[in-house]
Amino acid sequence: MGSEEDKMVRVPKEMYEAINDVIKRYPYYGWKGPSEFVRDAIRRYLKEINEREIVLRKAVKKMPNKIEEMLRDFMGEEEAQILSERIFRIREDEPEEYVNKVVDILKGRIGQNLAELLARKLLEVEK
Amino acid sequence: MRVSTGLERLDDLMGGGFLEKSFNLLSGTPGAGKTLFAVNYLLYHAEKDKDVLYISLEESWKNIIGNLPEGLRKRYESCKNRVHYLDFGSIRPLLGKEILNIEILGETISTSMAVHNSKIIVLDGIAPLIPHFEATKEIRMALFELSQRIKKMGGTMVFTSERAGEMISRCGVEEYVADSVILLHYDGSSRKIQILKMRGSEFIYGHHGFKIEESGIKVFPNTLPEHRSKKIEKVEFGIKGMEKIIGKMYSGDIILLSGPPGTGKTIMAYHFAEKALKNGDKVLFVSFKEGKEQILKRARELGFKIEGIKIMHRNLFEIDPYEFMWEIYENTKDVKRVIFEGIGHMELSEDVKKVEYTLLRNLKMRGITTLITHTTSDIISSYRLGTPGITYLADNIIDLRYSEIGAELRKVLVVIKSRGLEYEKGIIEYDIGKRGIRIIGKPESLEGVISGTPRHLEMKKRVEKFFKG
Repeated sequence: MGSEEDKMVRVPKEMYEAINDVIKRYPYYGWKGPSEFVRDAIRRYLKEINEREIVLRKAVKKMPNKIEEMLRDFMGEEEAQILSERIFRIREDEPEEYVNKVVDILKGRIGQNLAELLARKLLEVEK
Repeated sequence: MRVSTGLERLDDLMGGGFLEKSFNLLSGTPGAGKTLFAVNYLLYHAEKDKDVLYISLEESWKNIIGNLPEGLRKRYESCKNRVHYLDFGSIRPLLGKEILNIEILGETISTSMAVHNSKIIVLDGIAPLIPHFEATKEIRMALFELSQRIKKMGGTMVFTSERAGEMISRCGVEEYVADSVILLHYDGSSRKIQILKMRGSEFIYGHHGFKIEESGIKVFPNTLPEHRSKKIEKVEFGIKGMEKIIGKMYSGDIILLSGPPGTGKTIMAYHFAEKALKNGDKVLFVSFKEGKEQILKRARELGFKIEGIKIMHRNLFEIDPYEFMWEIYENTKDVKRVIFEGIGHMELSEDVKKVEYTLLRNLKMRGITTLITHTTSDIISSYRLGTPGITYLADNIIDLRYSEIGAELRKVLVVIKSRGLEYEKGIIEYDIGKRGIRIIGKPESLEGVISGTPRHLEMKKRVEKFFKG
């Protein structure tokens, strides 16, 4: 049973019916009803997001070195160093924002399209 | 305005080089030297303090630099701060085929051009782009878009493509987009370069010699610079009595000495060389038979003093005709006489025939007197003379041959062609003595000398008299 602190969330009728179907079809999961199913789903999803964020933050930390390494072969050591030094100076924890800032630095040298492709691919590979 | 190709002689053939702000195709078979040509183009401009840009879609820049001939690598080291590159091959493993999008490529190249203020650009190897297009018209469109972007940025780009079979380029569309088309030919032993297209200007047609050297690339055009000698001088051969036989000779004349081995052609050439040295003139002696030491030793033994001549020894079967032609041109800038010694009877390719004609005509115009010794294959009774090209151009043709006189194989010469009208029409006997050639005179009591088996005129008269009764 819920407590008074609990909050209500709405789900569309079709989703509610789909939840009921799953509960009936797979009783061995032990969900007592739709509310427990939703609580379980949210718990799992929050955990996944946290884990993803941890991975992204790790990827972000590796990014300056990865970019330097990549650009060294692509356009030479000197230019790679100039760009990676600027990337090293980015102070941003949010991965999405970080990538945007990296793209801003790179686009002046290699163009917007390649900068985006490169930064996003590097993040994706780490994931 | 023109932008140098990095090869002065090629610029001359193209009316000064590439058009400024142009898209230029360099196509050739594998190993023809496309990348070296492209790198040479960049280095030439980098050495002139211009920032240049190299774009590779396949082979890494590091590999290219590592594989350069030592001289070119040194040139790169001296100006590498001016050489920028975009090595798309290095990021392809991470970014996959998305990177070979013409929009990304064009944007990246133009951004880099702007950053470095580079107007000299090379896109080396467009082959990796091709699988991303379904139809050739799409490739043509993509290349057109790229060319417009580069030109708008003020760039003069060279892009390379591999030839497939008889096609000019890999896809057969690159040449339509390009402002100029240069083909590199390589058959495993010799290289040729050919200008196929030059938008809006004249160029010199045909194959030209092309050589990769330690320090770069050399082009040997199929034409030579034309400058006419204003002064025409009388020339003496150097053999006592020879002028009376040949008639008047002038600077710029081509003299062909043709005959079987042992008839004294080389010794006549020594006379010809020694005479020039005595006059204070310089001589180039080009031998297709013997090396410098052998030539000088033999001449010394016969009492000739020709140490002052410039000697070039070349193997007829190994020389590149265009390179040879330019070598002769460069080496005859200050000489008055040239001797080509030891040309034998051989099948000549079209390139060799063209070179033969161009070179001899050039020497003639420059007032350089040329002596050619040509060895015929028949010992006795040969009526074949030198190669058609030479005989056509020669002002004086002297045929040397053996004749059986008095149970001896004696030597005779006959002037087949002379520049003037006053020359000896008769057959002249000569000998080779301790001091070279000695003219003996006409064997007047004989006829049929030229056939190699002469008859005494006295005997003929007696026979005729006998039959007439």
